[in-house]
Amino acid sequence: MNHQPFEEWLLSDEDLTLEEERALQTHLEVCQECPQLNERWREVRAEIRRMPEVGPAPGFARRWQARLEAERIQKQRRQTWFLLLICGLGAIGLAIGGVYQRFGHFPSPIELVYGLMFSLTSGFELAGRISNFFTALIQAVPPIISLVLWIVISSTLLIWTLIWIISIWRLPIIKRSEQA
Amino acid sequence: MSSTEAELINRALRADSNAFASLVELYQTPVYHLCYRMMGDSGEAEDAAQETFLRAYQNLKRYDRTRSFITWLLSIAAHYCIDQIRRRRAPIVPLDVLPDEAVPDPVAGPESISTRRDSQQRMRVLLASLNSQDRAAIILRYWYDLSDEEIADSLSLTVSAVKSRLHRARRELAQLWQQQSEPQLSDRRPYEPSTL
Repeated sequence: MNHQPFEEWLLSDEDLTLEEERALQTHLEVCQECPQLNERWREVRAEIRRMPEVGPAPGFARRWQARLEAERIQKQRRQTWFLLLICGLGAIGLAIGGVYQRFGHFPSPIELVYGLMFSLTSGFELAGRISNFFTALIQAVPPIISLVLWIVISSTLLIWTLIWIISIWRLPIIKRSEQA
Repeated sequence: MSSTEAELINRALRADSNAFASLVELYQTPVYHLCYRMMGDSGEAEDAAQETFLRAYQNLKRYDRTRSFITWLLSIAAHYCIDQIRRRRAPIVPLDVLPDEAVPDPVAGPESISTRRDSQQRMRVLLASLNSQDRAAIILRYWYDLSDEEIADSLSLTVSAVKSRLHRARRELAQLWQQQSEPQLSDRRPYEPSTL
């Protein structure tokens, strides 16, 4: 027996036309399977509607806020690592470029060690020269600059340092309180 | 959309997470309920509902104000649950694995409570046996009274696909319900009254 479109009508939530209703009733009188399907579906639908609405455990919104915060920290960490990776890759690129510029070609390991040692020695030598310059400056300048000027310069530097430290310390606190 | 809801959305759009937390408070039950019916487990439902609100907060700029906010949330939840179910590939949840739901009914007697619990267990197994998209369509239709168009919009399907999925799911549920009823009938002794 052909159960279409009766089966579709039985399982539909839409209203049937009078003609469809009549055709369905006629079919239900002669068919053995469709009335069963109809009854079962009605039972299932009633059962679905009877099932209670289930809510989450108390404190769901608070847990969501904690998760959001954790996600934010995670994102910041990811960004930091990404930035470090970019910087690291940039440094490696620059180092390769520098080595190529220094030697005019890609050097052998011995050449590289020799170049590295030479650069380190030059660096230490430069640092030594700078250190000597400042030592000489500190020894020569105090008699020229008066004590009052020294106090003004050091106090200004101290105040600027304090302002800088306080601003770094206070800024995240202000941001957090604004968000809260 | 109520003015309170619109105001909360506006504040949340300005990165006010407290305003969005109020929206979470407002819609936690329907979203959690959908996740629970989809996943069949309270732990997974909690995780899915949390993830739903997180995604909604992160994509709030994409929210179309002409749509209902709850329908948008349910759409995110349904998509997430369907995705999770596909990943875990657990087609049928056995009856004894599903946790009991507390159904407070102070007037009902112990026998009635037991019968109700039994029917609900059966219903949950039936739902779990459906394909994840069919299950979502059934839940959205019968618990949230969404129209075919709204379900289509929520599940990114065409209206005719929704109609066909709903038809298939209803048929499957009715057949499974019958199959589950038959052993119970055959188990009964001849002098016992029918429970159906």
